[in-house]
Amino acid sequence: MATPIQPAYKSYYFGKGYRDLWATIQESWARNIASMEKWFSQGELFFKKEAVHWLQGLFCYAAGVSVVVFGSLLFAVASLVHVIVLGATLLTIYLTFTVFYGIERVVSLYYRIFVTCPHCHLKFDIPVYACPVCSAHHTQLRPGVYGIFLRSCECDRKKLVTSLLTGRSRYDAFCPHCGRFIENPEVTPFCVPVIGTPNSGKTCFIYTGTEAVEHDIAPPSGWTAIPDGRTKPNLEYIRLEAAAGRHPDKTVEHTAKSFSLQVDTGARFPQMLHLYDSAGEVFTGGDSLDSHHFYGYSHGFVVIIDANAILHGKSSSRNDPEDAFVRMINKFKVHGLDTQPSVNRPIAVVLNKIDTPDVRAELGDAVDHPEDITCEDCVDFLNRHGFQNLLAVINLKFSNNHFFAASTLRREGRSLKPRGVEQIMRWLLDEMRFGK
Amino acid sequence: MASDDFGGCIGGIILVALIAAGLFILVVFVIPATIGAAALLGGGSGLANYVTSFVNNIRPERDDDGKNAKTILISLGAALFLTAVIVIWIKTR
Repeated sequence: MATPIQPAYKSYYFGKGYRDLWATIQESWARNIASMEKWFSQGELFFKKEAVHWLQGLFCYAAGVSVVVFGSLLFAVASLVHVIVLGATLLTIYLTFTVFYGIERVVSLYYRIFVTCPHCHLKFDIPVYACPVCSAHHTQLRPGVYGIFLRSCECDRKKLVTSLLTGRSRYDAFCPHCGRFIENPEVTPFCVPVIGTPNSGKTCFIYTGTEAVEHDIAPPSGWTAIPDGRTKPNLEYIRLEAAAGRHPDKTVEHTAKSFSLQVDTGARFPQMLHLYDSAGEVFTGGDSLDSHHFYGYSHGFVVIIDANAILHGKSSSRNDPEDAFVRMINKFKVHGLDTQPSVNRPIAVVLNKIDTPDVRAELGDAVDHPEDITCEDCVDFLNRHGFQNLLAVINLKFSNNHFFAASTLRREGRSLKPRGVEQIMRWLLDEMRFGK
Repeated sequence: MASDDFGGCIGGIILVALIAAGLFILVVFVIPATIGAAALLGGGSGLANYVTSFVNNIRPERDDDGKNAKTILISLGAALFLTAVIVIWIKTR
């Protein structure tokens, strides 16, 4: 695989070494010719003098012939040694960086490391790294012809480490597709798209789910969870809104955005939980799902169903969870996710907004403790309200499914608090082998 | 007559012996010495030319005096030479 041209100095043995070899051979041959001509012209001078100098002339001619014969022989041998040394060094370096690169790939596979862009959501092996001194973009900062362990940036002021194992992710990283900044480039990502119709409570779930992992699940497990720079202000804002008893604003962006939590589980590489949020309208029409590339590399799914809307018969085509779900499944192939015979990923189906009076009337006081509402209760609820098709599709396409009930944000006093979200996140993390 | 024949014969023998001795000296000493001298002169000149060209042309980027590459290449050349000597020594032991 050819490495694209990098703003770095190529190893001497992969470029200039051969130009230098050719220049050395050319100059050496020219010098041999010049030496020979010098001896012959001197001999000629002696032969033009009186006979007493002819012996000297003869010596000069003999020396000229010696240069032609033995000089050429030595030239050939020296050139050969030069070629062999250069070739052997090249081979040694090539083998070394191939082995080193191979080790890096094995480690990446073992720890399931890959890079996802939080902006355009495309997946790739390596981001573009910027030189911390001159900001030159290195598109392939890996062991190769520009250096096995280190490479010298063209700015001449910085040697960059080339491997994941030696910490190249310390440099600023950018998406090779959209060019935008990636905060945590090379970690083990766990990607969970959250699907649902408009106003079903996706953003609330994502907020409370992230909070549950950060504050309730991580500390007892000995993990350290930190929201990334883009997620932190969003969480902070929703937290303040919830504390004041207000629901978060409706998500209007059709482009999905991720709420990302970096979790240090004590593994060699940190793990990153991404929960993807987008406006519910993308699941009810249009072609915005085409940009949801994360379906292809996702590790699990969450479907949010508004239980209250079901009771009030709001399942119009705009608010039909089945329609939204099928739209998403239809896009799986586009994003390279195999659906035959079924999707080998866990899916949590969440009956949300169970704290409303109408749902309470049907499910009873259990709505105060959603963790007591079983998977079967949720399935029965959906069956009773005519969602047999949705259940059939879920069972057919996702063999690893579980139904939960929750109130992602319910009014308690003056503020809004989640109920039942933690158990959903625990199940999901467990099924995805998060922290394992 | 007989002494003339004898004298001629001795002369012939001495001539042949002298020629043989001359040839012997030529083949055993003069030619090898000449070839050796020529090899020393021609080979030395060729090697000197290569070394000069090598020093003039080996110029890695940011290694303006070419010190790094020369050091590496000379070390590796020496290693190769030593390896060859050791291999030949083992083969002919």
